[in-house]
Amino acid sequence: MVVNTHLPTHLRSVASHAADTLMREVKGVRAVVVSTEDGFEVAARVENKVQVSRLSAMASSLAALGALAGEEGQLGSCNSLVMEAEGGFMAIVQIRRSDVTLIMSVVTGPDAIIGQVLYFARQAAAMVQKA
Amino acid sequence: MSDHKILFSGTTGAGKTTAIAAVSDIPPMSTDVRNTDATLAKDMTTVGLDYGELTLDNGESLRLYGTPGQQRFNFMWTILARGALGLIVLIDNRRDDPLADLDMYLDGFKALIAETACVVGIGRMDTHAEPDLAHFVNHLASRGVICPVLPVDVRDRAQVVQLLELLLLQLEMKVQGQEDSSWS
Repeated sequence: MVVNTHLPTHLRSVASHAADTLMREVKGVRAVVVSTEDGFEVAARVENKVQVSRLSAMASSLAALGALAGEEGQLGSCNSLVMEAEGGFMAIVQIRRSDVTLIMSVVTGPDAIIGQVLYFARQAAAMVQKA
Repeated sequence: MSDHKILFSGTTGAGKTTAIAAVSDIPPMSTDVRNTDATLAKDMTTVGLDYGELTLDNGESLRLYGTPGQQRFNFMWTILARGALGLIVLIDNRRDDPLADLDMYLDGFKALIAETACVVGIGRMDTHAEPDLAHFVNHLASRGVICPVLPVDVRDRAQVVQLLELLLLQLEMKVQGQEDSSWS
C-alpha cells in the first residue's frame, strides 16, 4: 500500500534515530514505534514480538481517545498517555509538527522507571518535532 | 424508557461520522485526525470512535457509536460491538467493489449480526447505481444475512433516523420471533 507519500523524506531517518536512542539509553525499553496520527508506521525499533502495524493503529486510537477525554475534561490538548500493565508500561507521546502530527509509542518491561522513560521519550519526541 | 447502544460501521468515507452528527441531540464526539493514506481521497479519518445521542419520538433513547472503517482498526470494532443492540453498515457505492467491502463488515461483525440485527445503507447510489439494491440483498442472502438494504444520504437526518427505526423494527421482530418459537 502506498501511504504517507507527503511525509518529509528526512523524517523517517530522524524518527529512526530517535527510536534507536531510546532503545539504547533507557533501561527496560522493549519497543519504540513512531507512527502517523492515523496509525501508519514511520519508524520502529522492536526487541520483543510486538506487531508494529497493530501497535501503530492502537496508539493512534488511544491518542485520539486521550485527546477527546482531555477536551471533555477541559484539560486542553493531550500531550502523553501512560498505561501500566502487569508486564510493564506503555507511554504514548504526541509529536506535533507544523506539517504532520506523529505519535511515539514506547513499550517497556517491568524493570523500567516510568519517569525516566517519559523524560527521554519527550526528549526524543522534541528531536523529531524540530527536524 | 429504554436505552440502546447502536453501532455504525462501514466503508471509510461512507459517512459514519456524518450520519451520527446528522441525528445527534448532543454535540457529537469524534476522534478524527488528518488522513495520510494516499489511497483514500479524504482529509480526515476516524481512528477511535464517534459518539452521539438521540431520543426518538417514541421516547427510546439511543447511544450511537461509530467505528473506524479501516480494517487495521478492527480491534475497535470488537471493543465497540460489546453491548451493542444492533449494527448499521454504511457502504460507499463509489468504491471499486462495494460487495467485497460489505463482506469485510459481515465478517468483522459476524457475532453481533447473528445475535442482534443489522441494516445496510448504501451511499451515493444517485451517481453510482451499480451494484443495485437487489445485488446487495442477494449477496447478503448468500451469506445467510436477511436484513433491510436501502439507499441513504447520511447528511439527511430523516434518512438516518429511518435507518435507526428500521433497525429497531428488526430487533422487535427478532425478539417476537424468539418468543413465538419458545411457545411452540
